[in-house]
Amino acid sequence: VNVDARARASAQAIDRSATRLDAVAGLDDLLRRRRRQPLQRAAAAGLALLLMAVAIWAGVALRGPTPVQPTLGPVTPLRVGPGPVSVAVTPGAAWVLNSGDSTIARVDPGTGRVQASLPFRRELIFATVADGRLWVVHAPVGAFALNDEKPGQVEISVIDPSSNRTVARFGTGSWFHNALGLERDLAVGSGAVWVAVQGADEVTRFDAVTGKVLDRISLPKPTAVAVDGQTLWVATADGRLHSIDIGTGAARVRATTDLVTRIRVGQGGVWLMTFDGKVLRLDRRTGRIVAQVPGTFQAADLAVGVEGVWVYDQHQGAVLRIDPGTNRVVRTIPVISQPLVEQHSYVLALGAGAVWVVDKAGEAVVRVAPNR
Amino acid sequence: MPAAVPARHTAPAAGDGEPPAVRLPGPFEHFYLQEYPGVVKLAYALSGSRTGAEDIAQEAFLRAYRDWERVGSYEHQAAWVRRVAANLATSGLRRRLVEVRALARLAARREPALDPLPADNADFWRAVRALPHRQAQAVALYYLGDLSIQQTASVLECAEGTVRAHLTRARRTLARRLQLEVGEEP
Repeated sequence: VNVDARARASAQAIDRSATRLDAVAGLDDLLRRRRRQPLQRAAAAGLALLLMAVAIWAGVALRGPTPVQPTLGPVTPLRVGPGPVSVAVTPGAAWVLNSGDSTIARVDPGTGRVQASLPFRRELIFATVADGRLWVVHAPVGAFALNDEKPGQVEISVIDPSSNRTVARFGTGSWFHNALGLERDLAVGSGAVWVAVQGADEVTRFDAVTGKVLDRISLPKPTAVAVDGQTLWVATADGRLHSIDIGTGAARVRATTDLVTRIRVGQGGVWLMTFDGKVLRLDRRTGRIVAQVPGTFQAADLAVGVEGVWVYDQHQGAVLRIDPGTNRVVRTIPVISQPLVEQHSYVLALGAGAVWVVDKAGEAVVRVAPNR
Repeated sequence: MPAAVPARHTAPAAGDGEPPAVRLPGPFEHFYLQEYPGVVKLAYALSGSRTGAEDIAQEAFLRAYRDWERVGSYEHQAAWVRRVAANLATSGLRRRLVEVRALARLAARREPALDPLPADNADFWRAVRALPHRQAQAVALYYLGDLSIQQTASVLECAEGTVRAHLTRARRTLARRLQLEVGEEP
């Protein structure tokens, strides 16, 4: 007997076991359940609140407040390798791409110590985090030399933080030099990886597991991409912001604005960073630009997460916190004394209760704990 | 070709005493009656629970109903509800919650509509449930739902090549664990 035959026989057994199944009675059950569910949810929410209150009371009354053991200061530069270019944070680890020796440093976010150094032997471009994994974009060494007539293949490696191992790797075409900041952007969602490739005038959709190309969406010079549930947001160099329904592929131009180099979703909105360093807020429902964050800053990177909406201002070398309620800068924390002019790199990340910025001139990654 | 829709049954289940108060919209009702048995079987295979399978299916359909304005517009509504049921059935925590609810209802009402499986077949599905979730879902959809590779990929929202890879790995593991021959790829 082979697996196929056993599988088919076992499927037939399930069919036979369901002879008494009554879809009509099930429909009645569904109606009752639908009516009961709001009450059940309210009861569950009440119970959860009660348990939370008891847990908080028990924690405070029995043990007192948990002592905080500060190991790092509020603004701490960490030297974790030569030539840091990008930072990303997964739960329990900050990852710093070091172009000087082509390694990725895994850093303990609590102590700032390097836990592991992963050799890559490639030109590291940037890293981001999605689905709890680290996505690293890299190219052959020398691929960025301006006289390089044969640009190398840009590849994406997916690293599992639980093992520090590369679990997937796939090519995304050649690197093209351009003046619009990073030539490539990527976003992950709905089981796929979306890579905006300016040089190829397309957004390529890859299977997130196999790396197989699933789709190619022709758009002129896509400069930034982000996944927002079932919507893919794509900015193109002509200043248009497109929304694409991931299920149907239907595309719409939702707004026309300045050239956008970063799209981030969260804190109740879609946040855009423009080529000249402005930050805009878009209403995800109407697709309209509803606010421009006022100020004289020049954003080089934008990050949105549970820590809030943060911008790295390359003029002041500071991280700025934006209040999503008022769309205004409410906090400025200087972090870098001699900031380099950035090319819209992935130099800002949020995670482990901190804001992380790459200080290229200082050859460090700076950990900012905004609540201390 | 859609299956014939059975006549609407309005009498409350014995001992329940809670007649349904609101009728469901026509297209949803049709969709439900047509797809319900297949979704229960899928949930049974992936959860291993006779009592919980119907509850998992109900939960999946309830989610479809709550979002029917969107789900009803999909071309592949059946794929959507199967995906939700498959995820519910393979998620350990959610499955246990469903099981607890189902047992509570069972205690008050009736026997499960599903019969126990013969030992050989029960062993097979137990081995399937021990596979990684995506492999287990691919096996159940492909064999139980009699779906093509393309249809299975549609339900799992992945590429056909990914489904083939899941099935190949699953067959190898099942062959080893159940001491069967791998056999030819179908």
